[in-house]
Amino acid sequence: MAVDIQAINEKIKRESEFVEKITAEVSKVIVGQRYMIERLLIGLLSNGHVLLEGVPGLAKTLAVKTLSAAIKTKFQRIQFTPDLLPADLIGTLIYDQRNGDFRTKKGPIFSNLILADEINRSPAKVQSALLEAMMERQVTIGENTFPLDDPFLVLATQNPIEQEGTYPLPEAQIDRFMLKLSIGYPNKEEELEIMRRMAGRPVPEVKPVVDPAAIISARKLVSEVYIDEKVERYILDIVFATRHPKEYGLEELQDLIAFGASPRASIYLHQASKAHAFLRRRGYVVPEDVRAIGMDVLRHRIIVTYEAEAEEKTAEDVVRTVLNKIEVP
Amino acid sequence: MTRLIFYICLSFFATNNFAQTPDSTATPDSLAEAITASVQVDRKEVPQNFTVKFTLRISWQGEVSRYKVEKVDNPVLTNFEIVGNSSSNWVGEIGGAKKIIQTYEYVLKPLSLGMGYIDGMIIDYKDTRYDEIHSLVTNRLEVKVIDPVVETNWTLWLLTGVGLVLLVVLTVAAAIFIKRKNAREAEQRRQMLQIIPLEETYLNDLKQKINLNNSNSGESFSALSKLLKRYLSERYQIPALEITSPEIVVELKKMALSEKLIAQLEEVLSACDLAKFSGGQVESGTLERCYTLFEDILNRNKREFIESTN
Repeated sequence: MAVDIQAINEKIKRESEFVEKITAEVSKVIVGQRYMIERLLIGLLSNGHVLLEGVPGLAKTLAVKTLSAAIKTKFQRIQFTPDLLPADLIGTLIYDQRNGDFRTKKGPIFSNLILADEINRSPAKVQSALLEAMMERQVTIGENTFPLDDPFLVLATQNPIEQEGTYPLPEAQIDRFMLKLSIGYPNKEEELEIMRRMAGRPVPEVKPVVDPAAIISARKLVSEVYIDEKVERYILDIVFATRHPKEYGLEELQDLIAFGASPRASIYLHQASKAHAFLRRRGYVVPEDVRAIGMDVLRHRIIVTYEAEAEEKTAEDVVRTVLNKIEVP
Repeated sequence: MTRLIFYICLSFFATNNFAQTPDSTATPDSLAEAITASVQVDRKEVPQNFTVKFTLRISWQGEVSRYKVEKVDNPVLTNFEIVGNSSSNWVGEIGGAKKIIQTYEYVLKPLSLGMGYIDGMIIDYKDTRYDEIHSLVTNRLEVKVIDPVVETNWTLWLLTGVGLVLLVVLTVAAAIFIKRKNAREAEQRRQMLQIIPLEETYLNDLKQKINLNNSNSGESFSALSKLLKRYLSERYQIPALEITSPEIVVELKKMALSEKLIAQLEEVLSACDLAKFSGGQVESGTLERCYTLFEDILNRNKREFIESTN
């Protein structure tokens, strides 16, 4: 198949200008956290939902709010609480006394960007409702089914240190997030800047710099990014190594992995790699893209055994080993 | 112990060349208290270039102050000259009786070949008990002076011995040093042989596996890239096969490699990546350039290694 990479490169150069604009706008408010911002953009460009995990105070919520503010799009923030009901999320039928009929009251999920704050604070039925909507991209209220807006992106946050009174997401549902980001602390210089910015000065206003149409167009372009079969096979090697580590010379992982990554991992790794290449203004995927995004795609899809837990080995350790041992094409 | 030495000396004096003359004129109270004089030479024949030791011994038992040797003249010599002398007194007890021995030693040097003589000596002494002066006369001794012989120089022998020992020690040390040096050089040669074939092997592989005329340049780039990564992992001990090209460059930059080498490697890796992953969209001549750069790197590394080992 002849691929005109030059043409794709040119198109990408033209149509990815908004990336810098968004980054610049977000940087007005968020100091550092380039990793998080880039992954959020990857989620946005590859139509995949993102789960952000990190201790409180790392600007997870602020980053998502700022990103949504930089896009001319509808944004909803939903604070997940133990008493939240599915109807509070997706909407409900309301009886209209004037007409004697039921009227559909759409919930906050009918938006482009959803910030599901502290998603693990709501019970399973609310989580299920959200996660179902995430996959189906439609919501059924009563007898009517309503498609969700496009772009539709859920950015959920959860706090890993408070487990009291939380409802951890089941593996099957967590698998629906394209990326799970582990947000770390800023470095010293960044924190100095954060201190100065927050010392009484007003928070800079973020202007919308891109409209949803540009995002949808960029998504189309992302899907056109060329990925060679060698890189596709590399992705498969990585995913299969999490399932059958012995076959890939990773005997040490055999007893540590209870369940490897699902085919959804391959799909998302494929898509996310393309989006990563797009962000690098490249019309083709290189193994570097796969390795860069591999951890975020895989860390929540691997279930480790009790032996691994006993050895204090996490899914991240497993993914790191796989990424460092599989031969790069 | 002293007594033992004394007995040994006495028994020695009793051998030939020993002449003892009791004082015939003395009037001792008992024979045991009589004063005696004896003379002795340490050899009957003496090479002309050697010396002979002449010993005069005067002894008595009893009171120390019983006798007083008035005067001992030098011996009268024929064909000898005195080159050294000494005297000593010994007072001790033997079998409960006090014994006094006065010893006079002369070192005599022969003058010419033939016979040499030491005339009898007359020793005047005074018996203090009776306040009388008497004399002792010793025998005449003869010593034959023979042809000179090579003098045994013990210092020379000692020095020679020490020198020989030192020579042996140095020889052994040198042998060990040379052996170790040879082993070290052999090890270096072995290492050199291990590394030189690495570059040579890759140069051969490069020639055999990369076909510059291959119409499917993507395949050639893949083979070239794999070859280069394998070489880098072996040469620089980095996991080049498991990491991406930019990561390889980062690893190489951590080492003390020349900027030129890193830049060349980066160029080859980037060109290969572009060719491999972008559907073969590379400019013509890129494969040749990558090939040449890789070949150049291999040749340079080989040369540098050989120079460093020399």
